[in-house]
Amino acid sequence: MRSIWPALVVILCAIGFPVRAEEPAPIGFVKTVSGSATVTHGATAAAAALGAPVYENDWVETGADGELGITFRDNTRISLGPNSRMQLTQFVFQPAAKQYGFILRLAYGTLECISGLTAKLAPDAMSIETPGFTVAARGTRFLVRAER
Amino acid sequence: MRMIMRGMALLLLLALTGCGLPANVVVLIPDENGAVGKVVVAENGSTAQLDKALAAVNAGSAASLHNVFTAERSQVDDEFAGALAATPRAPIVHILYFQSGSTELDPMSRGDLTAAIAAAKDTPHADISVVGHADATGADAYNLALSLSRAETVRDALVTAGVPTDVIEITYHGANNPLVPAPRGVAEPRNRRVEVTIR
Repeated sequence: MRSIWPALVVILCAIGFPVRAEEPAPIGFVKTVSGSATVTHGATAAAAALGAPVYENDWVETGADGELGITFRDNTRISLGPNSRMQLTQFVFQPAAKQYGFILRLAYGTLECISGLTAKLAPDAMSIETPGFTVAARGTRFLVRAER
Repeated sequence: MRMIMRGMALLLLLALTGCGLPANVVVLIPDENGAVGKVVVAENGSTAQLDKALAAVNAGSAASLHNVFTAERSQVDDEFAGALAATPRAPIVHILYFQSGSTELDPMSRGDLTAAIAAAKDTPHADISVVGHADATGADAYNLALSLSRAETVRDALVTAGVPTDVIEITYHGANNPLVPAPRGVAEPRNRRVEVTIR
């Protein structure tokens, strides 16, 4: 039996490697920041800058003097107080396909949420998870503190 | 005896009010329009629903969820001062209407386009969505193309006015997301629109 690898390589070269997905789109942008705040994208941590994009699975962290606010593509606004850490665990906002999902994981710290279109269009699609408890966000404005 | 009981009740009250909000806590507060929403806190099979202004719950354990209380506004403002200071400003939405089967703006929407352009230029680090729609007259393919053309018309107006093109994201829905439900084939001017959101 001859190997199929040469043929496979030719096919993959012709159609392009399927694992090479298109660049992920930003899910929101940093709109307010003061003191020390970091956005970690993959293995890269960078000081949070005004206007910086954030992506699904990014971690956002504030120091003892830090505060930060993000507006997401569905108009949800999330802000963190000092000494806080959160992951943007899931963000799916596709009104044309009626696909919605918004999960934030607050590891510790303080968070304010003012919900946008996801909670309005799909009341069960948005939640804030902490190590101890979960908040289902039907809307609109609420505060969460999770102990470190 | 009664004096002692009263003294102990007073001490308990002081202890409850003096030591601030619980370490793990959820508080529902009115939004910027004064509206109060609803959240459900869950832990190990127990749940607590918060649906009134300043309704709060100690989320430290499943058992503590049974006791929803009303938080003091001053206490909330104090303990969440950092997060509350960092709230991004509210997104601004303008809905622009179009003439039938056309990328010509309805004359009544010209002022809104001017306002959208001004908001886009006034907002630091703005990111902007431009979403095109059509009403349900005409074929699906035609409506999709028309809704895209309308969105592009608005995008071009923003760019001409000096808004950087790379902060504008265009999407288009044809007749699939009407503002006002209308039977297929029925003209509905309120659905011939482009929604501009400036964040």
